[in-house]
Amino acid sequence: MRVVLVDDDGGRLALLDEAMRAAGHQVVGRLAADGDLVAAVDLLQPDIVLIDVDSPSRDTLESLGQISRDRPRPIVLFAQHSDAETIRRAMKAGVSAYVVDGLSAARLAPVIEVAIARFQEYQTLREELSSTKLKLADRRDVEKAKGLLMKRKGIDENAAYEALRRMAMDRNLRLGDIARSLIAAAELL
Amino acid sequence: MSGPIPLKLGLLPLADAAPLFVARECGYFAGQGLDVSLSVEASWAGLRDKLAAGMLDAAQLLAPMPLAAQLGVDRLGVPFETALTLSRNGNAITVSNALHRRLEAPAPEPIATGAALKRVIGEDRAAGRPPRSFAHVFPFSSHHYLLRDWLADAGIDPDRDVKLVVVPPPLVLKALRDGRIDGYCVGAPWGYAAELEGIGQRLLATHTIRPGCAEKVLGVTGDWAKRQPDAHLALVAALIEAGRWLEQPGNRAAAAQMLIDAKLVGAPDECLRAALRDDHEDLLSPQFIFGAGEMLLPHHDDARWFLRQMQRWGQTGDAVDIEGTVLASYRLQLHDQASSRATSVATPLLQ
Repeated sequence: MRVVLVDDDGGRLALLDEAMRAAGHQVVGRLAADGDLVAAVDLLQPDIVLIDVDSPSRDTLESLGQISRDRPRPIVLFAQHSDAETIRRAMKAGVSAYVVDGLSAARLAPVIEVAIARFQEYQTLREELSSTKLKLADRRDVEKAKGLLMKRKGIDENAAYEALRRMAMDRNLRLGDIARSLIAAAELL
Repeated sequence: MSGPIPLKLGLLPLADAAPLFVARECGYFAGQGLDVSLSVEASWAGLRDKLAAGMLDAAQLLAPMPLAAQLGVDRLGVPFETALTLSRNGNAITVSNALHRRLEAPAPEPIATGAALKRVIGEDRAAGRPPRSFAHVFPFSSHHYLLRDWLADAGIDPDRDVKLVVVPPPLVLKALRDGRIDGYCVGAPWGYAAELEGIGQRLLATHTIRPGCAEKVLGVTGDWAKRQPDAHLALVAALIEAGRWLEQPGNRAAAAQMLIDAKLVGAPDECLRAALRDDHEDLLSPQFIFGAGEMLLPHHDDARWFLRQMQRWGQTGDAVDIEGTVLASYRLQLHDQASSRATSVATPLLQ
């Protein structure tokens, strides 16, 4: 199948590109959302265009859904050729697709499945990354808050950590959050 | 007694999202027992899909979208309905500086501008130049039909003499700057934004083509309307109150500030202020109508006009049940029920 990928997220684009090639498809084009999609579709003649659900350029693809002199085989939303469950999973993963009208469900399904899997994988990666970043920020801020307490109260590191932990527990907050509010308060004074 | 009903309401970042922000900021949603979160979406297709899939409870839709959904010509086939017109007017046809010079400053009305464009198209053809490209925002939009109507009335064939493409509003300036399009019919503030940036000029506002044309409506799925009749009526009532508030003297500037504070639109603040300014002297201004009396109704005349445009331009077959489709998608009775719940303060200026 001839595939065109439209995504502003370079990392996800690369992941998807690799997966499509590995599945034996031909990636004939890679575009950012502000690229000229109409020209790309006319030139590259894809069977399927994979695009971020939240890309503004979806409306451009939507307009290629009518039969005209220039486009005897219109490009339509994949939802027409798929079951409700697949549509729901694709939307949750954040991928949408436009296909040449008449493309059989049997040929479409495996491509959609690969796309859903890669979008999900990327989502998980991104969540892990942001949770790692948060953990690093927590560790840094807890250190800083401990330092503040040691200086203000003249206590040692262990006592400062214990005080911080108690404050967090009493207020039902995470250690990093209580550390950040302590730092913010100290900056005000 | 239970708490407020949580609802998720989708919209696109344009000046005419004002009623939704007013309803939130002025407490009209809360006053009707609703806890509404606004969700800014990137495309009409995305908004439609999320509404159809139940990821949004309701959405600001282009006025023809419920009709297209009812007919299934949007190829999704999940029927939508509306009981409220959120806004009327608001689009402008804007052209590049280069094309504007060739048009030789026609008066900002459909006949003079149409004749000027026809002349330029004739000259282009004689010189062997490729056809001009004009953008609109969605196949089922007032922008699309008003643009075609203006062209056709001037004797320009929208399918042969020009090239029509869809460009999403946040990307039209770039497309104009890059020379990919020669002009566009897009909602405020994107016409004036081109002037401020110095890359284009507004040629005419669409209220001169079809005055008071329905622009955005509040859409829900038919299924949701059946399952949540109370929430639906409360939502419509709150937005009726917001629409009326927007017609009170002096309130438009405050509404523009709400959109600016929400950082809704990626255009200079002045564009939004100008878009909502109620300047009837300026023919190029959008001249939005939000809540003036009967204008809030989902009038069947609007729906019939849209359906006839769909037929005229080959989006539907000829055998369309116009009256059945209108009745199923534009719900006047629901509007009346909701209207009786709208108890707000201010009486509208125009009754």
